[in-house]
Amino acid sequence: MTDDHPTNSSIDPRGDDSLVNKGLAEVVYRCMLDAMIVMDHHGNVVEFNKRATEIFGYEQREALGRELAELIVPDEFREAHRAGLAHFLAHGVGPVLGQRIEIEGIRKDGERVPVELAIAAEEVDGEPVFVATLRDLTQLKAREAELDRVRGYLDDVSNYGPTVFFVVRRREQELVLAWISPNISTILGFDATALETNEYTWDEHLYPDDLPMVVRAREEIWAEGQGQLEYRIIDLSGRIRWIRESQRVITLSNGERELVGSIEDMTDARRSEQRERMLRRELDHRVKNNLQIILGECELAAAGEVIDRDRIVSLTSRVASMAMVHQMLAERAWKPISLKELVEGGGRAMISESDQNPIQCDGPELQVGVDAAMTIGSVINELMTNAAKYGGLSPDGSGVVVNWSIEGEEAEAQLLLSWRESVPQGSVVEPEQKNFGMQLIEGMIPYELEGEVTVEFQDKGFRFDASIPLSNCQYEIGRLRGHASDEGTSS
Amino acid sequence: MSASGKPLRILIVEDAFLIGMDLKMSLEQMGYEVLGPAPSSARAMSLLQREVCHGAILDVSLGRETSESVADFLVDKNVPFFFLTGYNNANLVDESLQEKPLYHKPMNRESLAEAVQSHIVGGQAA
Repeated sequence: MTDDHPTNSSIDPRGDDSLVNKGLAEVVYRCMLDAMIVMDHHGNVVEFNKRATEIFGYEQREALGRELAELIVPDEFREAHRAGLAHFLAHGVGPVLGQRIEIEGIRKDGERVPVELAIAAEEVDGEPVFVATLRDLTQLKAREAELDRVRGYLDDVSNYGPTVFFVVRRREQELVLAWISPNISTILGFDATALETNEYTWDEHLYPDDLPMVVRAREEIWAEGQGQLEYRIIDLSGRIRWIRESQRVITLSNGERELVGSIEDMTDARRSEQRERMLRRELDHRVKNNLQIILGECELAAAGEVIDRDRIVSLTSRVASMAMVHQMLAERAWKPISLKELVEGGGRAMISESDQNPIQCDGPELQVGVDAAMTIGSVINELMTNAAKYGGLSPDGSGVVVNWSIEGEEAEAQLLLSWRESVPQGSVVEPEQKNFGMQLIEGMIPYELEGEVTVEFQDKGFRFDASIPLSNCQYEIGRLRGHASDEGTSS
Repeated sequence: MSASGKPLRILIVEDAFLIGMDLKMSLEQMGYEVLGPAPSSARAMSLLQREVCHGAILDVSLGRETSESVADFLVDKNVPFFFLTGYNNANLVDESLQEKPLYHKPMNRESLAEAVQSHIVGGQAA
């Protein structure tokens, strides 16, 4: 039996045998774009149209007379299908009748195929027949899966990505936020829902000075089609954050325009720019200070009637020390330096000619800020110079031991730095007049770091002790120089 | 010389030890008396409370602060002074202080002598 011939079941929806209706049923049957399968009350296939063949792969002649449950119903639904039929035959009701449901069928080749299924029951010649119309959902399902995949990516991007996205629409005169991606909460601490429902607005968190500029810029972008702006906002914890907003106007299919945009947190980038600027300023400042010092020393050296050789030597050594500390700090991009490196670096110039290191140093790891490093470095250099001339690092000396430790807690914490020279008994001579180097050794740490210094000329050798508030050793460059106010608040 | 015939006494406020020492030596060799050097405005103020002061040289940036509070005090007391800074722009917040004489480091002894002469010696009330 083929599709071109009427089937042996006489289907008559209105129970009317008129030829007109029979002819119409025939036309409808032939024109159907859906698959149609008719099942009798035994559960066997009594009609199977061309579209059904296209979906399931069975020719009509293969399908007719077979039990539907065996033919196309998947294993897991087969018993339910049979039970449903039995239930209907016994009680005259079936839950799937008259509904559209999505279900999978089995093709002749064993592959599953997603279909939309609608079943209606009618009585013909005193027995019920069941008419199923089916649509192949394969393409629809593939499109849905594709949409799900893209939506998943969008969810990932808008929940976890580094950039916040938003959509703005114009309502009367105002630009109103229509959507903002949820990652705004992790990036900037604002809640997307609160913003969308106007519980609070983005603009009320704008840095007040920047608001007029932002409002103007957005209007320009709305007129010109795209643009970018940078401004500050105050986040929910009161911190100032730098924002870069990029926007583009798009025209929807209904002719309305909306603005899609992204928000990036530029705070870190701004901070490092700021740090760069500050470093340049600081460097300039330091160079000038150093030149001032050198100029002063040169003038001092030149002031006497005769050229003071010692003064020239100590000037040279001081300039060399400044250059060395400068070099070490520059190598570390003006970040804090470890005290051990500072001490060893200061000693390196002294021990270049000797094979064994006469300077032993030991102490806990401690990072010293740039300003304190300049001070401590200068003092160490002066101690080295003196030790090389008169003490532990002179030809008669037997070395220097440098130790440091941290005493006290938190605000009270002090860096204790000790310097012990060893020389043969009786060779220590306390100078009658304090030279400039000794003034520096005693004066510089109290003056610049608010520390305390004691020096002693003992029989066994010269001793130096310093106690410096730890907090004064750890200020980073710029903080100590009084520009903390730059941070975050100024452009 | 001050009105009493004694040398003028000049306050130095400068946070770098070596520069402070150098300024002190320079001024002393020029025949002035020196107050300080003071590394912070607190030290400077405590000197000013106790001692006679005829003039001052102020570094602008002092560690975590500036010398502006000292400058304001000196303006109040009609004590002449000038700023000496290592920064390109002096960072003076107070606008009234921006009219005060300001010199940039490095400054040699000759320029220092001239600056002291014109702003401090010349600024003494008749």
